[in-house]
Amino acid sequence: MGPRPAISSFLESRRLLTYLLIAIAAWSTLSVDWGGNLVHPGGAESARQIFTAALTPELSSDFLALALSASWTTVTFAVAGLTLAIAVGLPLGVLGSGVLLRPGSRRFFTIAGVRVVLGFLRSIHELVWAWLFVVAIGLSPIAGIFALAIPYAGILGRIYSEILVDVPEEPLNALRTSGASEFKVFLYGRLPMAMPDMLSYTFYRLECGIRSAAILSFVGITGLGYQIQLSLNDLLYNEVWTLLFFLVGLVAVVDLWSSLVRKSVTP
Amino acid sequence: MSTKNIGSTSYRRKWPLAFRPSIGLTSLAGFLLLAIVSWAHILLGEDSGITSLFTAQTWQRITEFVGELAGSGSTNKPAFLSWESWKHGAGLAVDTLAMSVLATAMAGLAVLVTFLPAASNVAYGDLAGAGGKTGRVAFHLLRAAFVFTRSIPELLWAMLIVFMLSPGILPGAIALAIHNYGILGKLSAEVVENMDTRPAQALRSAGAGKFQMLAYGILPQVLPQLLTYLLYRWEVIIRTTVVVGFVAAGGLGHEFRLRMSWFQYDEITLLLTFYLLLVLLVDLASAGLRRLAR
Amino acid sequence: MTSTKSQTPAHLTLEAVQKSYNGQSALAPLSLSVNAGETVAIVGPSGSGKTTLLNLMAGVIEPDMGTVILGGNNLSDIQANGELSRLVGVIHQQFDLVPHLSVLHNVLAGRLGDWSLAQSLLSLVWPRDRQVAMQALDRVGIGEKAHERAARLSGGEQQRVAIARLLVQDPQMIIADEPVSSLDPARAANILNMLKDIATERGKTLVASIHTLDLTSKHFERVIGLRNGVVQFDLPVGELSQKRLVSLYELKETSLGAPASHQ
Repeated sequence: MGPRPAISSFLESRRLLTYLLIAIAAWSTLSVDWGGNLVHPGGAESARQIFTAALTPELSSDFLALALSASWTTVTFAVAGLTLAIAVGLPLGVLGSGVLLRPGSRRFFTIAGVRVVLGFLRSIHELVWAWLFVVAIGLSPIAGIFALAIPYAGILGRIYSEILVDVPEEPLNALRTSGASEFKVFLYGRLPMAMPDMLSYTFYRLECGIRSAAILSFVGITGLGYQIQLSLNDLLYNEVWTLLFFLVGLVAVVDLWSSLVRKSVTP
Repeated sequence: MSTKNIGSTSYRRKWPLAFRPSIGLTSLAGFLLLAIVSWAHILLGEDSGITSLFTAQTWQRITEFVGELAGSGSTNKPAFLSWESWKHGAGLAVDTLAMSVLATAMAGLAVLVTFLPAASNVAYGDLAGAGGKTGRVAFHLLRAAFVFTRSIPELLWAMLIVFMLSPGILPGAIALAIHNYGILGKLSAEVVENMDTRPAQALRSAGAGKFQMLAYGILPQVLPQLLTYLLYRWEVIIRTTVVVGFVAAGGLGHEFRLRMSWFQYDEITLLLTFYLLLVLLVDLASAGLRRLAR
Repeated sequence: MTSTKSQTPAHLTLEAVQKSYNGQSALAPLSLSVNAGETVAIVGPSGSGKTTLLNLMAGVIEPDMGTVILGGNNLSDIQANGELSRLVGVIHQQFDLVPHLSVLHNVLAGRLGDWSLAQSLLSLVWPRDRQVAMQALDRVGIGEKAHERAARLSGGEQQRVAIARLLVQDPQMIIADEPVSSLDPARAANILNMLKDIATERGKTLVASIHTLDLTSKHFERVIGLRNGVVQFDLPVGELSQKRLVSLYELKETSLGAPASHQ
């Protein structure tokens, strides 16, 4: 291979990347209206109030009970949405990975088709889905659960199919020579080897799901988000911070659980 | 080759099942239990409204709604046939794009400045030599900051920030940046913790000072991976930017909210189209830039 | 084997078998036959085509030309993994086991060809045919590790599990592709000895590719030398001379002068 023309190596270089990134970032700052009215009138005062309230969260037992119940509601929504997402995302992920089909045009189109479907599902944020559902079927917990499940199904499906494909081939070949049919190879070899990463990612999604469920309560499901909105409307910042701390606590607990699981299933 | 018969017989009795209980499996069982309880709680709760869901009335509402999205409810020309609407939408889409880039850039910069002290091998001195007390304090503070900022969803950050700054692109971008700072910070610190420390240590034993070791031993290994994570986050950020716009009043999200309140669903279809186009654009751009980063 | 025709037909016959990859010939046309119960070693430098030859014998790949006949069956005609597995079993250098499953499950994989789908599924939770598996594990000397996860075993122990799986599978012929190349000399001798003993005591044909030459002379009756996809010699192991081996593995002269090393 002779020396490459300067232009093509530039196009593939890190230098181009750096220039592009700087250019894009610079353009974005220009879009902001940096004029005088950046800060809200009274904004500085509000900021001070909000920050100091963080040090004095509302700790009355009534309110704590409310926060706890709102947290529980949020958890149930997150779990319900995630289980639905798994129910849809897992089969789509297996199908879209192509591991059960023999090479050929049928396999190619199946993979491509499933990829497109998964891509569409995960391109719309859960809040947008939630709003669409609420307008279509009215305020209902189901609206929130479906709104969460749809993009999550897309994400899970995509990640599951990547994990299934990345499994090492040698043990699978050994199973084949032991006499296993393709499907048994999948059950005995591919699935067990993919399981740790799949499990680990699913628990990570649970953590994200808690956050999403908290926001979704803005569309009328009760939960942490709804309570935060109420307290915020009344400008009761201490209550807001209590609820925020509960949210952070929930996320931290799930995060811990998630990393424990990850450590234990890696062989 | 003598075979050992003694041990195996007693072992055979011990575990009738194939799997020993482990954290992974008990967690799975725990999750299933949680799932059953959650669904029960939702379906059997007082105002779940499940039964009213599967009625003909609901179906009618859905079909009406879809029709309105397609333009049946509007008084004059449906929005997606009007050039004015498209132009207006395009401007908003550009604003939304700018907001996503600004947010990503800010988060990236903030992480770049703080990710090293947040890595345990740096803070505890395995990497850079003596860690020291300030190192450990900084480590724990930063890690706590990561957990805190990423636990609070972008929307909530936006709601808080709107009290302090006027609505527009900037507050939305800041909210997105804060939340993603936590996510990227944790990922970046983990990259440093999992990296191969031998080049850096070799440099140190060759006499390199701290900054030199950083520039030649750590950053070259770590930066491409950080950049990849940043670009992946951009894909997530663009999807959330629209939602943040609801609250922070910038770009497509703000317009979405207005049209929602005026029940102009045909405009919504137009906005959703721009949304999907933006998502596609950013996904492609991110993939292209990531390839350059290799 | 040498000249005289034997009464019984050979167990394994390759007729004018040839294989190429991407236009490059991996195996030149070759024919050979192996009798039931023979132990054959295949030797040769890296890239000589040993793995290709073994894969052809095991029915894992099909020849471009020629036929492979095992136990009276043309291997190209057999489609089902389950059918093929009764005729031939394979053990590789490493990575044969599913690391996440227990040793017991890995051994029981040898029965997958015979079980129905439902039985296979059920066995993941409640293992069937435990007796057979435990006997096999005892035979290879690691019965007490039955419930350990396969990933936790050492290299030598993992190869024993692979051998136990072969016992459970019970094929007519065993193909071993560099089964001991990752093991230290003591363990390598141990494992190879076990493999050979099991093959001879059950009357199975064994074909293995070996790198270490003194192991070859100790455990095999016949040795075939391969270089660049061509059979260089096919002798009873007693007739193998050091000189022949050296010339088999010799590096071609490089442009810098004498060959750098012998293998």
